[in-house]
Amino acid sequence: MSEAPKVVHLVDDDDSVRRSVGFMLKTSGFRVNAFASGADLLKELKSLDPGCILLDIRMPGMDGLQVQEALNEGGNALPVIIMTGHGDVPYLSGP
Amino acid sequence: MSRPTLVGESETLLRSILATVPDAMIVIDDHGRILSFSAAAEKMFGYSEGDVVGENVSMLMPSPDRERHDKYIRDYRETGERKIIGIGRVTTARHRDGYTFPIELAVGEAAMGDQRIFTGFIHDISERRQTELRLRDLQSELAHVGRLSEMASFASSLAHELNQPLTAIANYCEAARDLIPEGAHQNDALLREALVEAAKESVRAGQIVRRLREFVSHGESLRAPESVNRLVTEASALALVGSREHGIEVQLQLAPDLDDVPVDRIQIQQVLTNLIRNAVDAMIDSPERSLTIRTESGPDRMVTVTVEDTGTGIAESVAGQLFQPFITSKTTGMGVGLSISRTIIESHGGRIWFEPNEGAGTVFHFTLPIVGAGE
Repeated sequence: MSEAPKVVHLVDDDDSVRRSVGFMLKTSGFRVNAFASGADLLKELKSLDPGCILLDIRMPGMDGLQVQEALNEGGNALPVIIMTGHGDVPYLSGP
Repeated sequence: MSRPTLVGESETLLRSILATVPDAMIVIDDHGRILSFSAAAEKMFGYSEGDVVGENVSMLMPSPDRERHDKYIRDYRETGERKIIGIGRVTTARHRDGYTFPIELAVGEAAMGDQRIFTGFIHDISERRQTELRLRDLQSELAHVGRLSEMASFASSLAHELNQPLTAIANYCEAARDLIPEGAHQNDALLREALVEAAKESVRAGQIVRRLREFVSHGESLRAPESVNRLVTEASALALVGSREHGIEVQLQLAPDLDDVPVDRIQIQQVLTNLIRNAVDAMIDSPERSLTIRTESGPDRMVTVTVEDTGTGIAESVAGQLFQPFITSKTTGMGVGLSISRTIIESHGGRIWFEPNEGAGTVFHFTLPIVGAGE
């Protein structure tokens, strides 16, 4: 019996980027739980499965750093990774 | 052949020249008292020479120069620092009847015995033909900048929009590459190579778009330290040509001792002209037509410029998107003025915003950092 896949909680406002990053993570063996905004993620903070949180830094409304701050204030214990660069470099070069 | 000589006739000649030169000429002493007032000056200001000789020349200026002119002369006497002498500028003069008009002023200095005198040559640029030429120059300069700013805004949003799909393409290619089993088939290696190259090309396309954006937004801007008060005086003199006919009362409240600000002069004048024209347009049908332009030094080493009108105000339906391009309440124009103004102010490291005026009308503010924009 194989181990349950590890979970990535992915937050990115841009539809095409969010889906492509999700696809990449799924092909690398992760389960992806996607959100279109930091607010959507924060609403479900209490019920998130263990895993890591992946935040886009540049979003309208709350940006990645503000979401991270809110997560800390809300007592989040999951590790947080922030994606920077916005097309300057590939978002993720593999797991 | 002997040359004609002017000796003995030079004063007569000088007088005849002065009587015919179309520019007004005013001579003052080093306390600002009028010594001589030419025929053209009499026509331009509505005073006869007898009315004004011995009076303070500040009577020919609107506020705030009117109150400050004595200090300008005193500062010059004490520091010798030339702000206008030998430089010249566009500014505003005041007619006997109280209205103001835009002028080009050139000032020269001479010594008569142990007394210093200053001679001002004044060219009325509200005179239709010259004004139009001058305005056309400025406008074509501004239109050029306008096109550049529009292009910058366009390139900037293009780059932003394209970056997302390009990133997605790179991600899909790399993910697909990782799905291909290692070394199973010869074609698999080729397939991997194709996806790796496709991902690289997508990243390269993103970089090209980004470079375009950087080139357009920074390439054409020339910044030099400028006096904000001077920019305001010049822009308002030019933007307000013709507004006298609409009976608009204009007040300039300029803070003294403002530091110079590193700006692209033409761009900031474009923003000012834009705001002033909008203000004038908004007041044409208003009972009270009063325009106030103010400069002040704000907190955090910023200069704030305010343009305040008593016009129709801004409808709530457009207020939220006022700085978006192609939003306009006017029947003419593209509705890009404020969008460009915002691009310009933000690229200078400042901020632009508006609020309703107490009573009626709108107040626009923008800030400019006294130190260069952190880029």
